[in-house]
This record gives sequence, C-alpha cells and structure tokens, in this order.
Amino acid sequence: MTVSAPATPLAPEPLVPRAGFLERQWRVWRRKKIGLASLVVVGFLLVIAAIGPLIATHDPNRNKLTATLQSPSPAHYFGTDKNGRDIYSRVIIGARISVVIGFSAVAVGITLGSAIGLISGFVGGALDYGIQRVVDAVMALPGLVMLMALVSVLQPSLPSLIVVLSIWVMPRAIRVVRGEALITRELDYVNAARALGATSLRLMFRHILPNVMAPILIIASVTVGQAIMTEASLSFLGLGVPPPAPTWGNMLSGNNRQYMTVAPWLVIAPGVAISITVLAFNMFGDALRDVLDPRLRGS
Amino acid sequence: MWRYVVRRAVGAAIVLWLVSIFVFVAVRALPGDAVLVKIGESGRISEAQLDAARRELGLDDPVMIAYAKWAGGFVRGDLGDSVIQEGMSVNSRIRKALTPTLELSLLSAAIGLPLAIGLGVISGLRQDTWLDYPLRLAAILSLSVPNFVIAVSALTFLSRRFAYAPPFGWVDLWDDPLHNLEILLLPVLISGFSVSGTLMRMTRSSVLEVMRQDYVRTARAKGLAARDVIWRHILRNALISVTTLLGITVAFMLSGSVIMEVIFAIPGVGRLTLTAIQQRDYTQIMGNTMFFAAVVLISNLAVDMLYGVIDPRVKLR
Repeated sequence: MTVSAPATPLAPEPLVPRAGFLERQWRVWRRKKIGLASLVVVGFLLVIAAIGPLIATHDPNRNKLTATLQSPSPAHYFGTDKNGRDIYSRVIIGARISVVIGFSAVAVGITLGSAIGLISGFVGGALDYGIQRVVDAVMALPGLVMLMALVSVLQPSLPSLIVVLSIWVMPRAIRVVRGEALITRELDYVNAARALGATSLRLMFRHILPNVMAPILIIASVTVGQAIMTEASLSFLGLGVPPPAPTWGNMLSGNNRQYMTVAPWLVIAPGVAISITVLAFNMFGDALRDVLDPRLRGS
Repeated sequence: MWRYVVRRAVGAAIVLWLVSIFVFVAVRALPGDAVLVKIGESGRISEAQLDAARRELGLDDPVMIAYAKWAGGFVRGDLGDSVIQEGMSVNSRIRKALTPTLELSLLSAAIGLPLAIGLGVISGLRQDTWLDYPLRLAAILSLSVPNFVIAVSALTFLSRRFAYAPPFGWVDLWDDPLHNLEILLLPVLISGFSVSGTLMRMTRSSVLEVMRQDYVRTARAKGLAARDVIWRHILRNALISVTTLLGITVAFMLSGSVIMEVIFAIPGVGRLTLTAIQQRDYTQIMGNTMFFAAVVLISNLAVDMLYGVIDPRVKLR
C-alpha cells in the first residue's frame, strides 16, 4: 500500500484556479468606484508631498515685495500673498507638512493605541479598568481644547504636533481594539491555542491581533483625514508648525485674512487643498470599511 | 435606577479627578519658574505680580501640596485667580464667557440636530435613490470641509458679492436680542452644518439597520400601512441609538465653537481658552480645561440617563 496515493478530496476542487490576493482585492475594489477614485487622490497627494520641492516653482518663503497680492497667472499659478510669496509653491510644500504630521501621528497613535487596547482587552481586570478610565479622561476633553493646551505646554513644532496628535488618536484605537479583543479572546481557537501552551504574548500578537486588523485599518484610514484636518485647525489658530513654514491652516489665518476680500485666491487654493484631502481620506475609509467589514456593507 | 445614577456619577468623578491630574502635571511639567519667566519675558508683569503668580501656581509648594490646594479649590468650585488679568478670578471670567458659548452651541444644535436627524432618516428610508445620493454627499462634505474653511470662504464670498460683513463687536442677548442674533447668524449656520454630518450618517445607518430587522418585515407582512411601519417600528427604534450619539456631539460642538468664536470674535469660553494659551495664563488654562471636561462628562451622564428613560428595554443597573 502506497502512502503517496492521492487523497480523495472532501469537496470537489474548484474548476477555476483560486485567485491570488491581488486579484481577489481587485475584484472587490473595481466595483468601488468612489473608493478607487479617492485612493487615486490620496496617491496623488503622497506624490506631491514626496516630490514637492521639484514641482514648486518658487521658494515658498521668499518675499517678493514687487509682486504682492497678484492674481493667478502663468507666473504664479495660484497668485501671490501680501508678501509676494507664491501660493502654488506654498500649497505644494504645505502638503508635505500635512502629510508628514497626519501619517506619523496616525502611525504612532494607532500602533501604541492598538497595543494598549490589545493588552487592556486581553488581560482585563483592574488593569483594564484603569486603562479605560484614563481613556475616558482623555476623551472627556473636547479634542481641540486638549490639543491646544498640550501644544502650548510643548511649544508648537513639527515633532511636538506629531506627539500631541498621536495622543489624540490613541484613545479611538484603544477603544476599538479592546472591544474586539474582549470578543476574540473567548473564541474557541484562542482557547485551543492556550491549551496547547501558547504564551500570553503569543496569543495576543499571533492569534488575536490578526483578527482585529480590519477595524484597525479602518480607523487608521479615517483618522489620517481627521488628523490632517485637526492639524490645519491648530495651525489656523496659530498653534501649528510656526511660520514662515507654509501650512494649509496658517495660509487661511492671520495676516492673510485682511486681504481675502480683495484677493480671494488667498482662500481658494489652501481651502480646496484641505477639503479635497480630507474628503478623499473619508471616502477611502468608507470604501475600506465596506470591503473589510461585511456587516456594514451598504450602510 | 438610582444605584446606576450614583455609580455613573462616581465614575465621572474618578475621570474628572484623572483629568485634573493630567492638567496639573502638564502645567507643572514646565520646569519650575520657567512658566513665570515666560509670563514676565515681555516685561508686562511686575515683580509683585510674579510673586503672586508664583503663590497662585503654588510653585513654592511641594508638588503634592500644590495639587491638593488647587484640586481642593476645584472641589469647592473655586478655580483660583487669573495670572494675567489682575484681580479677576478664573470663575468670573468663565461665567462671563459662558452665555455666548451656550447661545452659540444651543442655537447650532437647534438647527443642526433636527436637520441631521430628519435628513438622515429620509436618506436611509430612500437608500440608493436620487434623494439619497445628494444627502450622502452633503453629509460627507460636512465631515470633510473644515468649519474654518467654510467660515473664511463664506466671509470672503459675502463681502465680495454682497458687500456684507457680519456686525463687528459683541452685544449681549439681553441688551439687544436682534443685534445679538445677527452676530450669531453666520457662526450658528456654519457650526450647525459642521455638526450635522456625523449625526446624519449615523442616523442613516441606524435606520438601515432597523429596516432589516425581522419585526419590521413582520409588520409589513401583516399588512400595516407603510406610514405606521415607518413611524412606529422603524423610527422609534432607530432614533434610540441616535440619542446615544448626542453625548459625543457635545464634545464635538465645543471643539467647533472654539474656532467659530475666534473667527467671529465671540467672547466665549473657547476664545477665552485660546487667549489664555496665548498669554500663558496657566490658572485660566487649567480652569477652562476642567470646565470643558466637566461639561462633557455631565452631558454624557445625562445622555445615558435619557437613554434609559426612552428605551424601556434598557435597564440601568
């Protein structure tokens, strides 16, 4: 008797070869036209942020007092501001700041938040209670108020904004991941792994984490947009990356506000840039949620 | 019921206590007298005021004692004196700023909430129709276009097109109600729009979820009029879960009011906080932060109570 005889399959083999990962993704995504379009916008934004200095036509911070408040023209695509700075170049370089802060804050906040949420949900008990009350405390402060206070303590700068915004991101990740971990840790396969002698660390990161990845990705994608919007709000209030660095928020505030009636192009370029960016992240997040979370499909 | 209320109130008190520690530590984290050096760096403060500020901030005291003094004051409802505004207590400044903020928030809620819930319901009931699409678009725009972009664009547009500028300065509601409402018109409309997006989407998905429930199918199957199914079966259940969101809305609206107050020069608590931050008025910052946290916690508590009252299935324990 030969062992190598082909085993009888329990179910008939599918006639079509099983599609690869990319192909399966493509099948789902190609019906998500809006999701794809927003992904393209996000990609475009990333490219601009990456190659910004190459496509900027002027030094974003150079004052040119012979060319103040000029309307859009071939020389200055989006016009110039009161100091004669080229708005097109400032929007392009401003994209960098928004992207760097948005993505870093979300990466740090979601990673730490997921780890804390995982531990909180998995370990439970007094530790969980303690962590959740701290999360309550952070969430009890209206977002902008907490951020304003923290920025003022740390002094506004690129790194401090990343730190502060990641503190703002963290509670959401903690909440969601903890909730999922509480459910997942009771599932049979986790108990089976435990019975086989898996350590807590292994259970958490090897068995539970992969199963809570979908909600983590969903909050991450939505939160990038919100983080960019919040950074712009702080910047607008004068608590962002300090001038003269161009940010979308500070281009709409301060000195520029006095001249907007005579020079509406001061509003248009940065306003459209923020809005489209946040819109794209929100729409992408919606599509991602539809794809990853079938329970919510269509809602 | 009362046991639940007490337990939740104790929970909220614990959270408030944690907030007070954060706030205190954040301000104390600045190296000792550095705070005062910063206050005094522009030379607008006398040595005597510096001493007063030092005492006020408890910089002479050990950390624990300083915290106990400040937190004790908070428990008694006394947040201390402003470091910058001589002779003004933090309390009195918050109290003065409270009316404008309250007005702004309540009016925005009065416009935004019914609109959001109404349109959210319509959008859900008419899923994937030509009524649903524009409403969904409006909702996602409300989420995506920051309120300050709307405000700045609106101001620019109105002044260019109609040579309209919102009235300058602030007039109290009791002094001249009409003028007061004119000042608030634009900020109220904008923050009403900003707050409605999230709520509209949540209402819509809540309606969609309820519509798929078995009891709705049963109601339809037994031949109830569509109107009765919608009002008595779908809406009553869908709107219950919408109420739970009102708590989040309060915090969200307070964030938004900061920006509206700054743009439209409304002397509310949000603008007071920003001014305090710019002037490094640390007692005022601490006081305002505690005030905001208390408001959010109390409204969350109220919403949870409300939830128990309107949904007979929920037993508050």
